[in-house]
Amino acid sequence: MKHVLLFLEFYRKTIVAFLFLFVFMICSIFFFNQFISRLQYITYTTQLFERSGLQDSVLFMPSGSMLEDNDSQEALERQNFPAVRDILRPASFFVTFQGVHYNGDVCDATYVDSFRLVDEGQWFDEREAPKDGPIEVVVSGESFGQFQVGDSIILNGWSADKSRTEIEAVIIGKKNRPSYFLSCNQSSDMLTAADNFSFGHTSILITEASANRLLQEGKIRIPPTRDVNYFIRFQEFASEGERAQVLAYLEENGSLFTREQLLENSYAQIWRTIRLSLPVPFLMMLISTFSMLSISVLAITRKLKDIKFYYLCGCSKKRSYLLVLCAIGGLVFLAGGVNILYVIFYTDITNLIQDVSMLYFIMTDSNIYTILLYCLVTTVLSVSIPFGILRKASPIELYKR
Amino acid sequence: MGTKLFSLALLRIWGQLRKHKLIMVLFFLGILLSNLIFLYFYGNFSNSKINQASRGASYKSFLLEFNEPTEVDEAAYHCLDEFGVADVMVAAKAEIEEAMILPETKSEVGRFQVRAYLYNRWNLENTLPLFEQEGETGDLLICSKIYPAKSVFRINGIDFQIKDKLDNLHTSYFYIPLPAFRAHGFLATEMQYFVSQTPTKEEIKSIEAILEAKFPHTTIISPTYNYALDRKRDMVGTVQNSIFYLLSILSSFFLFSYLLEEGAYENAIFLVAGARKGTVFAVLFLEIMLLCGFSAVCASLLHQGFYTAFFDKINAVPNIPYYFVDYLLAFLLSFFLACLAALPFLLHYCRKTGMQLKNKYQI
Repeated sequence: MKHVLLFLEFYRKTIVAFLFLFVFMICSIFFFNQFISRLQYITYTTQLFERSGLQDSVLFMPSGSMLEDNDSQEALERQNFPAVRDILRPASFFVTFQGVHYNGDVCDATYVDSFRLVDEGQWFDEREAPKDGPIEVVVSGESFGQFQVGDSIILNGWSADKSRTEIEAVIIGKKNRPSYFLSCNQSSDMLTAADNFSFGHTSILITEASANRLLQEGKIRIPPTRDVNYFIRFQEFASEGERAQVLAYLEENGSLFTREQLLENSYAQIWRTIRLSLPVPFLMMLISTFSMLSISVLAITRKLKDIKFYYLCGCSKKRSYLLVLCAIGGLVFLAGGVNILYVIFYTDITNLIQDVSMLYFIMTDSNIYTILLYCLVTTVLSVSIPFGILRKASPIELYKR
Repeated sequence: MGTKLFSLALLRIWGQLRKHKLIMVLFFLGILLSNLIFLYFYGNFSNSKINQASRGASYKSFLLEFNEPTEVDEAAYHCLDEFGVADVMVAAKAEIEEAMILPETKSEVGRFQVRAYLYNRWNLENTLPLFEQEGETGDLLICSKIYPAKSVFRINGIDFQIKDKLDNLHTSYFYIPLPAFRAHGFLATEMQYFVSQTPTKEEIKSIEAILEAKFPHTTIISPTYNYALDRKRDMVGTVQNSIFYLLSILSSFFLFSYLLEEGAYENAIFLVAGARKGTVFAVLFLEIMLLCGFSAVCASLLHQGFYTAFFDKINAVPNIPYYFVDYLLAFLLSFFLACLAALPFLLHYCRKTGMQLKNKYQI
């Protein structure tokens, strides 16, 4: 109790300054954390795309009549271009699990071959798909937290007569946060990798074969809706002429981005985000660190008289250092702690607020480490000068004063 | 009286510097840092500054919006030649075939335009000509990348051959060569003159007068309008910057309030010696004015001195110009804000009466 009172006593003479600084520090760490999280989302999706099997591919955005007819993929396939290896086109249908709506994201063979979106269990290509029985799914999100790989679950779909159907499924893999799945529905003349992914916690991944089986068995009403855009992979040994033929066809019927263009736009987006969004949180943190240093010096200068009495009462020099460290560090780490709590409960907060824009921030342990690092650096800087003052003010000198 | 107050304030600063060196240094550095940040945001929160940095066309262009679709004669293209015209754009309403209206451009129906340029450039930044050969006469068309590269695009009932699709082109605009625009008798709904150099106020007035005489039934959007629009937007930026500045200097003023407390003995002597409370307040206010003013000047000198080496590199947009008048404005604004922020601390301190101080120090 005595130590707690002494600890609280430290703030008494500069309480307004410390309170102001505490709030300011919470805000500056919060803004910096938001910046890091957004940047992490952009870099994560860029890396995901970069490491995918879409090494030699183009993203095609059909337009005009091709888009209207929604058969651009079939039209392309009818051309039988020798340079085209395969097509990756995500598709989705609605299912519910325990009353919550999910997208059943259909992974075609190219999707399965190009990505490996599991952290636990297996990906679709690592096992042979069953011809009957429960379908295999890869799940993501907190709703599946209590389920383990290998567990069976019941999903609900709708049959042609709009009655609810039961879909037996077995979890073969789980994707933990960050979880973003391929989604090719955005069109723009400056597309980036980040534009081609959507939040994964609202999706359940299944293979194209499983989706077809559900359709045949009447467990889902209509074929899954295919995304507007799609990736086209080239044959490894396709000649330049053959590739040019495909590109000319695609240019005729829409617009396209090569993998390199998408990556180039993504890197540009990363730098743009840093250049435009970093200054405000960075400068706020700079100010709060400097302010903490200033207020700490002020507090210790005002506290010297009290410390004199502590020494008289038998407090050692070491303990007085510890008191200063705890008081200053405590406040900094408390401000950091508020933000760490925000990072920890970010999932619950997003579920509560249900703001779609909040889904495109990645909060990981690195956010917590960054906050802790900042708190540590600020504490070290903030106590450095007060420690210097204490060192100079020996007990004897303080008595003299 | 003024000189006396000034020397008293200077003496106080000197005294504080000797007695509380560390606190004074931290106070000064805090204000200096806040002033540097204020200068950073002064340029980066300002639309007009960013427009100047990106050499935006809005300050070099004169847009005419015709009340009725108008046929533009040859002389109209050259009516501003004496001002160094970089290019002239003429636009007509475009009706495009249904199949070419994309989901992304459905909302733009009715706003599609076919555009042509006298000197074949589509903006002042682009050094490459829009069409490879100047004066290209064919029914060619350049559009945004999102449109399919069909060989033919029907606009206003005329088939145009798609020549190229470019990034960063507005999806509502389709670019054709000027001879084709004229040959098909398109009636202009808009016309825009781009001058090479940012015109002065006098030049803007002269150009407006020429355009008003030449096109009496039009709305003219000149750089004056764009300047006014940016100034309005800049106000929001200035308010944001001011709030940020006030927050950043507040912690420094806690140090200042400590210095005030430490100088209380001196003030008590002033009061006992017959000084009025208002005079003591004036000395203290002058002290803070001098300190804030000095740090603001130092910040301006530092910013200017290291602008190319450091500060320009951290700007949101490179080459944001800072002129003497900007530093002066930033100085005045930050100085005013700092004095404003200091007032509550001073008033709080000055609540103590002379008698209270006298008793406290037993003078």
